[in-house]
Amino acid sequence: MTLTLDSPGPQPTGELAPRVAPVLFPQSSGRDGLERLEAVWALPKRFAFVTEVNNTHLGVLYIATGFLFFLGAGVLSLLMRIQLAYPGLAFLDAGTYNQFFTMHGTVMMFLFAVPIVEAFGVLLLPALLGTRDMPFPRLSALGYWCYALGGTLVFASLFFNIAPDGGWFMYPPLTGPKYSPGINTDVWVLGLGFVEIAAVAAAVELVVGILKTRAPGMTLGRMPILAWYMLVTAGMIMIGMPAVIAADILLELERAFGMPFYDATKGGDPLLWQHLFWLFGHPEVYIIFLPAAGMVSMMLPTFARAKLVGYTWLALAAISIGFLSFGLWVHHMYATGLPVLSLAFFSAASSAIAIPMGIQVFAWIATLWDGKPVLRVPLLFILGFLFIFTVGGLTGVMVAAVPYDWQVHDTYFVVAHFHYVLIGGMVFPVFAALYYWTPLVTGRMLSERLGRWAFWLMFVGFNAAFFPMHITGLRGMPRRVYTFPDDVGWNWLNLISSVFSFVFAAGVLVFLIDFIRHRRSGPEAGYNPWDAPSLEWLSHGADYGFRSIMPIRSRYPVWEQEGLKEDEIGGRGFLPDAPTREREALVTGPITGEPEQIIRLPGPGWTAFLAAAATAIALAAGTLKITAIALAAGAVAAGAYLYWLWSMDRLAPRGLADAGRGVALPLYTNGSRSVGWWGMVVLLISDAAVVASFAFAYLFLWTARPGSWPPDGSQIPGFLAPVLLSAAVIAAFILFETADRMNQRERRRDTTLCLGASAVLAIGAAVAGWFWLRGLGIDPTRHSYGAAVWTLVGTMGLHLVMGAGMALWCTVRLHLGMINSWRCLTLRICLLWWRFTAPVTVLVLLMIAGFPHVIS
Amino acid sequence: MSSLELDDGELDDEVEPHSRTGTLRRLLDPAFGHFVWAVHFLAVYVGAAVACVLGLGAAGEGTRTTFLAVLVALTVVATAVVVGHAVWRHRQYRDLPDQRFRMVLTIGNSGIATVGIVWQLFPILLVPVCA
Amino acid sequence: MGRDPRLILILVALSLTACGGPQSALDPAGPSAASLHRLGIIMYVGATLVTLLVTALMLVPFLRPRERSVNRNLFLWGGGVALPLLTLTALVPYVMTVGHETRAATTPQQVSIDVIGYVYWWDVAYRRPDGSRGGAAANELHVPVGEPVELFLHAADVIHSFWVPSLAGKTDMIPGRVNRMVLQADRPGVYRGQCAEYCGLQHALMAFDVIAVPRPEFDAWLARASQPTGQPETPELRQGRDLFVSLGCGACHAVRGLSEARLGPDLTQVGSRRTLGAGTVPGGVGNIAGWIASAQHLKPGNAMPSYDQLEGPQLRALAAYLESLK
Repeated sequence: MTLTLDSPGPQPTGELAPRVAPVLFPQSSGRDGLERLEAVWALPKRFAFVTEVNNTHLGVLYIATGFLFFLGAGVLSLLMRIQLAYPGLAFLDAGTYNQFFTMHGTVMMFLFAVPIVEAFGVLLLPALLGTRDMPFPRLSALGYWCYALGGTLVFASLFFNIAPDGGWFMYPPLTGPKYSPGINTDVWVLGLGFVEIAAVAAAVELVVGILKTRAPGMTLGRMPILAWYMLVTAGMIMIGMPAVIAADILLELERAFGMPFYDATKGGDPLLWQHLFWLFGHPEVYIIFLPAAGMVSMMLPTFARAKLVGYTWLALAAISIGFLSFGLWVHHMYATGLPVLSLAFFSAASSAIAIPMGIQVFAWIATLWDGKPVLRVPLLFILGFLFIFTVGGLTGVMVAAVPYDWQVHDTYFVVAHFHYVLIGGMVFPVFAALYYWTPLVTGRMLSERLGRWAFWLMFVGFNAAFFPMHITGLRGMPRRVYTFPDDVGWNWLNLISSVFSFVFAAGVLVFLIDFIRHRRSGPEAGYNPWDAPSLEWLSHGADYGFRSIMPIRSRYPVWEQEGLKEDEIGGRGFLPDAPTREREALVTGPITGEPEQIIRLPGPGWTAFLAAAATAIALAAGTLKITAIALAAGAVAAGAYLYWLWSMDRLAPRGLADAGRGVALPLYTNGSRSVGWWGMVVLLISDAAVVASFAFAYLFLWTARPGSWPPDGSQIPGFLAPVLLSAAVIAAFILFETADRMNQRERRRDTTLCLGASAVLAIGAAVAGWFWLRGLGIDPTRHSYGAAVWTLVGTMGLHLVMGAGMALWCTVRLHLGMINSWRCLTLRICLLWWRFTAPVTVLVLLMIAGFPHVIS
Repeated sequence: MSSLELDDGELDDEVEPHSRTGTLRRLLDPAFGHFVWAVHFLAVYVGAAVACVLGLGAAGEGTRTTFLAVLVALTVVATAVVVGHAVWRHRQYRDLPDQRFRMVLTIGNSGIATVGIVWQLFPILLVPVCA
Repeated sequence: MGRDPRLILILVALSLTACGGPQSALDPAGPSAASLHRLGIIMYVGATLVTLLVTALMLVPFLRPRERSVNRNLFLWGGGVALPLLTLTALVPYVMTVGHETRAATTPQQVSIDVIGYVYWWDVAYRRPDGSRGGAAANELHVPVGEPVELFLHAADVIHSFWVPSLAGKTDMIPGRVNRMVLQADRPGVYRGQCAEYCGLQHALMAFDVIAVPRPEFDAWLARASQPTGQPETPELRQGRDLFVSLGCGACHAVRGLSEARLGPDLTQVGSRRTLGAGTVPGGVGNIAGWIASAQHLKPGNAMPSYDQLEGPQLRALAAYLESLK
């Protein structure tokens, strides 16, 4: 819907613009425009900084918080290494040690690794994509504050001796109600809950941001390579996180309500947890690795002084890894006694991932060969990454071999392997990134000399601490042991590992000292200190990012687009002003990057912070069983979320607004052009993955306990009730569709009627479903069958109730004049919910009713 | 393979003609091969697991051979679909840089997906069923 | 950076030579462990070569800056695609044929053992030909040398994992499932095993021994393990037996002919065990007494209470009685 005033090129789409359109909100590239821009994007003063929602600002906080968790979990590992320095030491007792290794793994994975790589995306992507901000800044703020507040609560559990102690992958039945009656396990579930909120929030923001808020002209093929990596990562979070969310929900249902999903004495199966956990847990490793690989791919051209060799290859390697990584989860279950054929499928799939991995490594090396590399500190860390990660990848090929893994699984060999992969594949690139991008944030350079010290201490310390662990493992030492006997031959190896772990820590300490020092005495960075080719260096310093949004014609705009900096500073790009006195951004087409719309973004506000804080307090109080506080905080959180939802889909003038450069764009769009529509699609994909996980649980529990199904003495479901229920659900859906049609014709009464009837039918179906299951005598606590059926039907019931709530929501807004034929995004987004809910509910009913008949 | 190379940086300004296909579908098209890989992978894995639950381990040699033949046939079909789609995309190729970029993505992903699918023949042919 | 490839080589060499130890996968004593070790060596060599190649390639640009632009196809097609594709197309089929020994079929004449994992010890029961529970032991498996032995692995509470690195890879013990594996020792000896799946507080102290002996010796041992224990011969031993009964030890422990409970380890031959408390302390009368008096101190959190209220003579008598059970 681009409407050009002086038509510089062919009309890309849609209806032709009138040559002279009345244009709203004219942009000024002069002094007054700059002043408005500065005022609108200014950071709130003092404590009000918690109200800031700008992604670039949040990215800095995010990285700092993640780094603090890294230091905390690192200290735990040093304490553990002291305990293991010599056989039979009593420096830590068994209980403390078990809490420490559980927290080390949990914090490093969930509170450091995943958040910090997403944080780099949140910090860098707006600038890399050439936009001022991504489309849902409040969502990012919610994610960050949930993570920061919730993560702190979880970490603090260590000081009260209630930290989780079941290992970071928390296998039931050890973590079930019988063998872990304390709240330690609940603290873990709580911590994961926060991370899930933060991760899914960031994923929505990143996917929609990358697809919809790029600079004009930035086609898919011109995106900075990090955007490809982050897009794949965010997609993986969308699909992978829900599996562990589902596993968590089932575990909490078992712990709190006795629904026996994992309890073998009642038809449950501990392997269900392992499947769901690793269905997320294996992609998790790549969720951590891919952004790091993307950052390496961003930094390499700068230091190689050459463009990336094989940009397309790297993009397709990232996509391939994203997909193939979901075919590896049984990788972690080779010793569980599954049929060897099943294991072998995963072994072959694990091997296939070596090809995109090889492509990446050789593309990076070729880039170095192609240029004249300059060995600065970030490149040093990248070389360290290449070496360590190669070793980790090769031991990865080893553990992917089923029979070999039978020896090394759950030993120190695996400990060595995944530290090579994670420290090599993620920590070293993150340090490279910290050295590289710190000047962008602080305006000063870190020390080259101290940087080299930090690198060599970390590199030597790391290899000398972790390489011996391969041998320790092969000589029989299992992981997660708090002590070991002195006659098995592990003494020297452990002592070496312990000593050099402190050398590694010294390297981190040198970085910290350097960082604190550089804030005062580091040399000024100036504009583009590394002479990098990418856009983020254009936006140096200011809260508003770019002076104006530049059209992009190259993958390496700063190197290749003549006069880019001058035009940007001169306000000759898009949006050089903030005429609405609000934060504005351009929305562009996902594939071609043509400008489609100007959106107005929320500025500083308390909603996100309040919602996050109340959620954190409610969940923590719920875990500690302080019901009054939990309820009060929950009410505050609910209020904040409702207010938030209500404040979306704001009124925008109907005319076209000036976007600069002679282009006029609409301020409001309905349907698939709007960012809200894309956000909902992403959320629904995640939601579908949760429902699919529950369906998997139902089917898997059957394979674990074949025979009579239902086994709990209840009746086999008939078909009449499901058919009636399906009919009601489909009718509710069609009514919702009709409401949208009626609204298009401005028939408000009919719209209201349709919405009301839809809500009534949806609620009716949910209630009838409840009576149906009760009538069949299905008990959720007697057997895993009942637990699985109730969970599935309950989930769909919840969807119906939500759908009914949406109908009422729309009705209210309709009558307040906030929905009409032109402004109907809310209605359209709710309609998406129904387009998902109705068919899935029918499928679920079909499975519940049909499956017992199929197998009997 | 020269047509598969995309010279970095030499992108022009031309805008590709608008396709009637939905944006979401066009975005996901480069990963087509991997979707087929995922379906094939789930089919052989779930198929083998369910067959063992239903007693394939105790069944006769003939039944097992038939089962394996089905898995091999599935693999051949999946490979054909992926390769066919890639060839089709290659034929559709028009000389616009961004389209070509997406075509190379499609073909590259299809190549890796094909390896992933074909390699499943190793377990199918070499590993005993339900042991 | 230059010295790291050498460091790796030295360490790989070390790992292949300094491979002793009673619990080492690098010192295989059975066909399964041997074939896995062979697979391992192939992969160590391959991995070392690839690491050297990659390290050398990434350092070259710093040593010899080039003027010409790089041959992209060689790197991307050669290194990125061909190298992993060819090596893995060779390796993957080989991997698929390794390790089937542990799932092989056995004959009815061969030994079948049920091993049940408990927090934090191992119950071991030899199956009679009719499948019923025959001679039993705890934390020790006696097996005949040179014969495949069939194991059925169970878990009584949480997940454990059965692992004797010198003989074979590990197999998990999962509640609600029975996993089968076949184990064979080619040389007589004692092979240490340990629980490999984290199972709670004392996961670290959950070890066992596999004792491989020639067939006749094994048969004799199994016969003893299947018979009731004899009457104690001295007054002290009789006092010990009476204490065993009166203190209620039999509520948890079996002593064949005296009690049958199976909540704790079978003590029928506890006097001959190499270790107590699943590898916590060495066997012998002194440690038996120490274990009875302070089990919670030696292995906090295990199911055995500390009987620290016993008088010295009582403790000695009880320990002596248990030590006499061989």
